[in-house]
Amino acid sequence: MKAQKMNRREMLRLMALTGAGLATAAYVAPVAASQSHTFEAPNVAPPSAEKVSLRLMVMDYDENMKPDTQAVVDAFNASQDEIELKLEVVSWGQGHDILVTQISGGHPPDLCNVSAQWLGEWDAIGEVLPLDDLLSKEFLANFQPSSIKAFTNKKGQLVGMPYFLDPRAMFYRKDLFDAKGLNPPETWDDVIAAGKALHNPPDMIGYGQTFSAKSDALDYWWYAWFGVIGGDGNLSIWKEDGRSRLAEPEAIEATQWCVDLTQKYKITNEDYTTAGRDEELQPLFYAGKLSMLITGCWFPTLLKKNAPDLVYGLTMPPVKKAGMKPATGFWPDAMIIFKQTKYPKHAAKVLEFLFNKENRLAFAKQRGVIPERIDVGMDPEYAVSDIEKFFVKSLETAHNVYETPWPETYYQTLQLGFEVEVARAVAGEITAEEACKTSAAMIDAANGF
Amino acid sequence: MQRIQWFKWLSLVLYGIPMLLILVFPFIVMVSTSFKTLEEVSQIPPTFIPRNATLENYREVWNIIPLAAHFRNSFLLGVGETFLIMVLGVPAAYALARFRFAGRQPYLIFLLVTQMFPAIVVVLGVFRVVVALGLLNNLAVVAATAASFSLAFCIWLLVGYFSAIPPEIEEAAMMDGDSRLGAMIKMTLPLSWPGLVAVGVFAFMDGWNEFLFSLTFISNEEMMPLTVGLFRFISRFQIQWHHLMTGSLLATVVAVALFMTVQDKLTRGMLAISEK
Repeated sequence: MKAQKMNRREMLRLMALTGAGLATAAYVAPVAASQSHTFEAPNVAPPSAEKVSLRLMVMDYDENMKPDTQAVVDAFNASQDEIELKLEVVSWGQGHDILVTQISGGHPPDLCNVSAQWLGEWDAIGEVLPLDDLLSKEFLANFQPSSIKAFTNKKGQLVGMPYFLDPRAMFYRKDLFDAKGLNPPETWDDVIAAGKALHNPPDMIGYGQTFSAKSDALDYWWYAWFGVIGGDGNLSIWKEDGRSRLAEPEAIEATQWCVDLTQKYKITNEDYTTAGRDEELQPLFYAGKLSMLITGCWFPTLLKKNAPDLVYGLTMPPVKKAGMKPATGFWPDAMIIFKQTKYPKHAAKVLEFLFNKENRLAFAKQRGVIPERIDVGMDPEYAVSDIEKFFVKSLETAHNVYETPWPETYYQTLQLGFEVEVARAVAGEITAEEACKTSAAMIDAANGF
Repeated sequence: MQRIQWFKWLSLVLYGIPMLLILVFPFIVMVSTSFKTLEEVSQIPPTFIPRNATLENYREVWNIIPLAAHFRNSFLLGVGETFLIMVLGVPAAYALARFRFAGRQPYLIFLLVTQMFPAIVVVLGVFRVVVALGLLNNLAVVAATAASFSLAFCIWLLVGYFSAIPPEIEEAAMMDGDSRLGAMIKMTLPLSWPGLVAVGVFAFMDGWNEFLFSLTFISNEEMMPLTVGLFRFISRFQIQWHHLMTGSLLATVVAVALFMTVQDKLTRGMLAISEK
């Protein structure tokens, strides 16, 4: 077949048309851009009589997060005529990527609930607005001191309001423990004894743990760390000079405990390298096939919905030896204001509304979350059962696991680096000591030591 | 003859059926889960045939998320991307197939090169432009951006298809008084029908499955397509598997129905393109 040659006139016509199109596009884009907002976000006052529009982005904890938060947003919008708050709900799995894109693109939301880990990351690059000058001391006095401390950065600035405190506890099958005459799993020896008595796969798994990338994989190492150190010890994994404590004997002992549960005592689930806490272990507990699982304060709400007849008990994460004071930790989330907001004072007003007693009481009841407001924790409407009282009390020894002098490197070194080494140790590829020492060296090197 | 028959049956049993089972297995799980309660989904060992089959999930998914709006948006993205690719791709492919001009070959190679960059590489830059233009939460922008990524591939497909149609057919039409555009519309496009359908279905499915740009450019839930909207069933501490599978099944049904409608033309089109 034969293709035709385009003649010069046709070619010129085509080029002229293309050029005209490109020129028009090039003209329209900057005009439109200049008419919309710019990337810089100056702190400007809104024209009078015009409502300030603010974006509140929330990551959803459960399927009711949107209607519950929408009700709060509607109540806020109805309570005043200065600000119009708009709600956006995104999944946790997408949240970080969406926010990174929006921050880089000069278009983050005004307010957002974020993981404390992300908060550290963005505070380190100056994207988070300090709240000290925006919120009054009287307002902040309403909150648990440990929760405020959790979001105070190394410069001493408050950079987020505690939005979701999630202390962890050991959930165990009380009916099975009672039937076999076993002690509640308060110490490591109790866990081993109960695991040996109850572990009978696939019908019953003794102790659930996971070190997969699917979950917050380091959680189960932290529980071991709390058990080694105890509530009277220093739960920080950082030395005074900023070096990691992971090469210390206590850290190695904690790692060894995770290894022994699987390799020596063989009382854990076999899919510890692939399972997710939320995807596999919690459903296993609902299904009545798991006798011990350490997970968070949200779990009773899920149990009530998914396995209402299951008989379970609660203890603090087990300690190494009887007589030690138990400890727990939280992986908290914060509500923050991004520095790029044009209206910080208005955003602070929203923050005060979101964190009033009424809204936080409702949030605590809806999510099964432990209140950061002291008055909500003491409210008879909230602490109606022993479960809520248990978790409120557990805050006394709860450690913020994201506490770090190195927010910039936390994720890459600890969350990704150390978790891989612990998983390798649990799988029997390397020893607990090798895992800890390798990780400590890597973390210290990344932090300039 | 007997031996061929015997070999046919053996290959079906040894290769065909196991392959089919592997490919169909996720869909069986999806169908099965869509009829289960969350409690049954969590059961171990899992059940394939739901013990207490329920249609509740099919009722609930429409209320938990704005599923109807998500369907509409996915459909609009599919149609929008197909429209853009047809309007821009067909003339471009026609010109590249019919005319010889300076830079034609480099241009074709340049088109191919644009396919080598993953969309994630440019998403931030495009996001900044979309923000600057004030065009967030706009499906047309998502469709245009997604189309810009699949356009090159579609042009390549169509160039091959148009090249196989003898230009003499158009010349005959032009001698009868038709313009070039008229000859193209009257002669070449009808003959290219299977190829156009193949490209159209590809473009529609690309729009229907679009995720990255929708996730980045759309924050209003009412404007989200299915791919992003279904994510709402994956929350932090729990995955609503029963709702997720129900929503996914409903979304898949539309895609399957479309394929079944145009299967014949699609197969012929793809075969013809592959022969060029």
